[in-house]
Amino acid sequence: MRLLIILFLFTVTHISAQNNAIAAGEKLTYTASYKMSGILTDLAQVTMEASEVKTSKAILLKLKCTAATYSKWDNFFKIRDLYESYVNPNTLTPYLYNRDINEGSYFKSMKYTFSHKTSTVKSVQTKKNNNVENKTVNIGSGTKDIVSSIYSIRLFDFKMMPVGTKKSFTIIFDREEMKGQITYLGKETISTSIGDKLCYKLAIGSNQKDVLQGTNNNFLWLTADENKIPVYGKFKIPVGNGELKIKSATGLKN
Amino acid sequence: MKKLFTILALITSFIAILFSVLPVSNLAIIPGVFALIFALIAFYVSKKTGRVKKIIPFTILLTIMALGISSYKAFFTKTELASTKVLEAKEIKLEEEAIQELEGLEIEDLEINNIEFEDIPTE
Repeated sequence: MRLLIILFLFTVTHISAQNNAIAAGEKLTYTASYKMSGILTDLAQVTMEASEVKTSKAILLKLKCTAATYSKWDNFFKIRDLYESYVNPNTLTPYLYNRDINEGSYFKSMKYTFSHKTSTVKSVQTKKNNNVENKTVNIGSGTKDIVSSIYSIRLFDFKMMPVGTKKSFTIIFDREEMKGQITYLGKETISTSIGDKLCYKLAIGSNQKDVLQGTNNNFLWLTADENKIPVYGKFKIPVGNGELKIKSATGLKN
Repeated sequence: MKKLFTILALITSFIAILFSVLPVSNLAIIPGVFALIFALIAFYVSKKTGRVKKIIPFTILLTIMALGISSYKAFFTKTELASTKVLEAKEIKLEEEAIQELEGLEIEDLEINNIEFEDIPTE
């Protein structure tokens, strides 16, 4: 009997979630800050936008994240990053992903075309001097790109979730699959620039030590309403601590 | 002792003034505070032993300037976004390319798969 219970607990259960939190037209703007010698400094503006994209065969949701440094940093270290994912509007399953990063003198672009039938991703990486590299990567059935994974966290039904629940997910990043994990830590009211919000507090972790450090150093607060928008994030990365604070939220679904 | 604190005050005040003119002006506060402490100790020790060298009030002045500049920048400089025209142009180009690519995908591809997150058993 005990063995059966253990087997049951270790059996992977797949959760199918439907999108009732994200709508086309939604725009979230954040300030990204970085802690330098104990002082928090505003570095960049991050925006997360959802829009509708029509093809002759389907209507997709385009999820876009951009990061741009504030003007005072541009001469020092200029960042213009773009991440976008074209997903199924109901399930947020990705079909196409683009990443275009410009950081100082560093440039890199990456395109993934997902084939869920064959569980593969065709990737095209372009670096400086038009150095193009094609590679096909095998992926698991639930593997997503980073953008759709972030948005997918908002589809969980936290109302029904006991505190301490852990979920794992697989992300393909830099043509490698990596495991991410979220732990639901309960509700908390926090003060944000869009008002005091009752939030679901989540701890985020990764098996890649060079991405997010530790399993209890990175936290995300999602509003405890139907939209579940991320309003505040605290992250520990190899070069220090960072924060993401919401500035504005428009075009929300609910 | 007097010499050591004078040198430390001078070094930290130079670091403070350097940080204060850079975008990382907030960082000037830490060396600025240290510079003030070192300069005051050097001043106190010098006064006890006799003559106060001109370099000590100079480091205090330098530190006050650094703290003034970084405070001004912290309170009165607006954090505003620079031009993102290149990024916007890139977005349009990528979307056009993406739509072309998506047109080539099989329609069945757009129907399959649901979101899959794995439950992890709690200990």
